[in-house]
Amino acid sequence: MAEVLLDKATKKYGDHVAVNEVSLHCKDSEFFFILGPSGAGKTSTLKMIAGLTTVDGGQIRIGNRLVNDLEPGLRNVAMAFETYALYPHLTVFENIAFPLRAPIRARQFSEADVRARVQRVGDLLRMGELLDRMPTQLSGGQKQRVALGRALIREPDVFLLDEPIAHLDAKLRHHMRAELKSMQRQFGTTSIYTTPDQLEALSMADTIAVINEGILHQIGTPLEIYNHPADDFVARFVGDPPMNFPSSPCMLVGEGGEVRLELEGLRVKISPRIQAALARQSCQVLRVGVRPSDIRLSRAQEGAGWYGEVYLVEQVGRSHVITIKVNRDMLRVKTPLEFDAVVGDKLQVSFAPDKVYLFDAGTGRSVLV
Amino acid sequence: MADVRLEKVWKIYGGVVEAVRELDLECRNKEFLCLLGPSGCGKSSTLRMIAGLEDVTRGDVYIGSRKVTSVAPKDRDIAMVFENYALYPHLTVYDNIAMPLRVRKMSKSEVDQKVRHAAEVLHITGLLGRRVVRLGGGQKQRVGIGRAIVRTPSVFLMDEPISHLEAQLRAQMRVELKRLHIEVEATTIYVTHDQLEAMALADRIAVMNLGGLQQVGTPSELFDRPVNQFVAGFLGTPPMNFLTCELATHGDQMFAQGSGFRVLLPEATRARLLSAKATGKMQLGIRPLDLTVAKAAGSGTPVAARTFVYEPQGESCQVTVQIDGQLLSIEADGDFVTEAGEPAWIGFKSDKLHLFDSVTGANLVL
Repeated sequence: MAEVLLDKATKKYGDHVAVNEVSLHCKDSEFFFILGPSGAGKTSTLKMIAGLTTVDGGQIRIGNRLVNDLEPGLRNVAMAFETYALYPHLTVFENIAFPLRAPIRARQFSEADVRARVQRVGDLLRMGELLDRMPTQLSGGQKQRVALGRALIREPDVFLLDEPIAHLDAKLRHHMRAELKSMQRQFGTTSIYTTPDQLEALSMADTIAVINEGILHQIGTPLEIYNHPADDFVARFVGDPPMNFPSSPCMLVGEGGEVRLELEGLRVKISPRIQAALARQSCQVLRVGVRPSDIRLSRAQEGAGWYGEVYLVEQVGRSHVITIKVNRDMLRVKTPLEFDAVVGDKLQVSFAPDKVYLFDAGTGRSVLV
Repeated sequence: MADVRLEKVWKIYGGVVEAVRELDLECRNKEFLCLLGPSGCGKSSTLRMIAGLEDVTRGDVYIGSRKVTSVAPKDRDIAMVFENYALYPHLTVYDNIAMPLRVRKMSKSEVDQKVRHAAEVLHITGLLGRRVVRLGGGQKQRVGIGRAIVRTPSVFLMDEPISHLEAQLRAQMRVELKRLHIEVEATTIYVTHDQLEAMALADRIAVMNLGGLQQVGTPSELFDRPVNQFVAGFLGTPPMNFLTCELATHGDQMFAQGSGFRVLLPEATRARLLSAKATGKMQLGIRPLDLTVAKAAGSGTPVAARTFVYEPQGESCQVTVQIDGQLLSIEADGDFVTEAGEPAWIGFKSDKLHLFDSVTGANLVL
């Protein structure tokens, strides 16, 4: 067990700064996620923690120990990759037992000891019955569990997982998410997990660090990240379909004690909470973000507001995702299946009150957090 | 424009492997039909037989009123788009799209008009002068589709054209493909293993498994009225839950009863089960959306369970609970918060519940 601390950790490849002064604190036994698109610097960060690449600036601590220059073998971390690299000629049992039989540890464990440990890890991974199988007889999810077992058997202080389920199909990924989250709880091992999949991070993490182009954008719990994104990058990256950012200029209008937003004729009431947040800001130009489920469509054909033409209707489970062309923008709207729009329909568009997000158009920072 | 019909079509490889078994299928004129199924289900073999790239072992393929079973691919008036685009990398986008027209010796001005129109529809007008090697994956796929469009074929055949693109680009291309279909109005048969893609794109979906057709219907029909357990389990993420149960009657009431739960069945369901004389073990199927969860027992949530994993997902959340060792996933509102180990109380929306025959997998309550 150990906590992991990064203090302005930096990784450079020539002139390219892959990880730019990233500071984060992964607490003991926490399930910590690093979320970002490809090229964000996720894997470089993980490799610095593992010791698989040099640290070009800042500090990395595991437990209380500065590990910048410590070799990987002495850090007591275990890493699981997307590719499982199992030994095809060994049984599941021997694959999991392999690290215990390594020359460096060969004398540490008696055969009975090895058996007991493999059985325990196997049971936790729900592979207890399959220990005699060969890797070729396993499904993708089962192979991934063997690879995890091989990492876990060493009882590392820190467990590093680099996109471990990215290549599995949607159904298996759904299943493995729940499994991995439950396993992490049971083992209680501090774990750091990278993924480009926002749903995976929201679902499984205790804490998420969102990074892009080597820069840390936000650290928070899944609900903080989703409900209070720190900037427009996080807002756009987390949530599916992604948040809409209409390009209409946005103005604050005060009238008769009521403050509202105006976007090219669309009036949006704002709550005292948002008003108070705005009062604390000096931001001049605002950018509005609204999630697909917070846009309302109606068949009203008159009255102030926005009108758009339905560009496309897609069914997603028991919802519709409607793409509607409004002004210069395509907005995506999530509606119940009963809202039966067809391509070409002219609809009125409004925003659910108090559900808009506001960002500084210059810096991209949220003005609400 | 044309419809496509398959009549009792078989594909048998090497005299033994039945890749497609006695397939009867119709794609209507101007329809977007998805062939959906896991790998090895026969969907690509089917598409390739329609294209003429595979021989038909038995049965017949019709395009419009014409039997094309033995017609050469180039004479079938179809255009095919693959996952790998097979473009000429060192030619420009313009020349790639123009290629099939020049082969037909079309006049220069006519070629130009057609290429520009296709580029406009696909939003790649700005890329016409660029060489293909310098394009991204989504752009290349648009060029591939452009080359198919200019031929104005009767039928478009697409084999997983966007499955290799990354998620956001795929979602964007999905919108474009469907929009393209609306604008071009060409009969389209589209192969995919991705149920989300099929649901979003198709007018109708044909689900295949192990070489056989399982069901054809609109996305809603397949989602809410699956004919068997395979279709029920294949469509929808998170997937439908299945629990082993038996029927129990108590006076006028009928219940589906299993280890740790008992659900009252609606009258219509009871009537159907009685007329089908259903007995013995069966599989109760219910979608995560059609379960409700609460922290306390209530009239709507009478079944005791325990939370196994809680996954927040923004506007919704996923709760996996355990009932007597069986795992069940539930989709609930984002403001429902719980954690592993906590008690949970579950309710079944009984009008959304399916019962499948344990042996044949057939849906007993349709």
